[in-house]
Amino acid sequence: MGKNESDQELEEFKPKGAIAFFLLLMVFFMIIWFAMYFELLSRG
Amino acid sequence: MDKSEKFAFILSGLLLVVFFGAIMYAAVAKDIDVPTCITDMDPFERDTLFQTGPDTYELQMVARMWAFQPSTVRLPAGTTVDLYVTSQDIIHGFKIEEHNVNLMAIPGAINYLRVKFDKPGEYLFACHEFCGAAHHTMAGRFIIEEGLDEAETEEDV
Repeated sequence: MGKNESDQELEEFKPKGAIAFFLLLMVFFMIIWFAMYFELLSRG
Repeated sequence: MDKSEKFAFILSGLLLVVFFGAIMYAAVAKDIDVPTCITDMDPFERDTLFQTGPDTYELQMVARMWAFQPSTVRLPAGTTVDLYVTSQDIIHGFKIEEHNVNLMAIPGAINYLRVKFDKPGEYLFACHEFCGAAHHTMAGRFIIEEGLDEAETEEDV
């Protein structure tokens, strides 16, 4: 692999795994948070 | 800034805005309060229940080892109660089932919360702060009845 090819790969790198993990974390967090929130609302 | 970092920042910010909006909705539209420590009221040693409006009552609740005074409170359905809790001796807890009430009963201090009883039924309240040998017996109940003319309290001595 030449130097130029390596640089090109680095520039195009997108952390797909990290993004997916972050989104999952946010969704998980929202589920827990809103479960407690709606429990609060249901108790008036 | 990297595009992915920017995405993470924006998403986190949006989530915080959503959470804050939801909390404001609960506080303003649903009138759900957090407990308040009352500083401009003299500490009371005896429990009292009195009517302050057509559907509103004020209840001053006293906790002691190992009972609440009053231990039973009968109220008409749809009543809003301004609840003041204090303790005669040590720190106790006060929690009503199925309601957003979770207070500390502290000697020399008064904690306040407004609670509305819409549905008829029996709602247990209990001490949730360990306070000694008979902590597990320290409980009482609100009895909410449809068509009850007058609120009343009972005490176990």
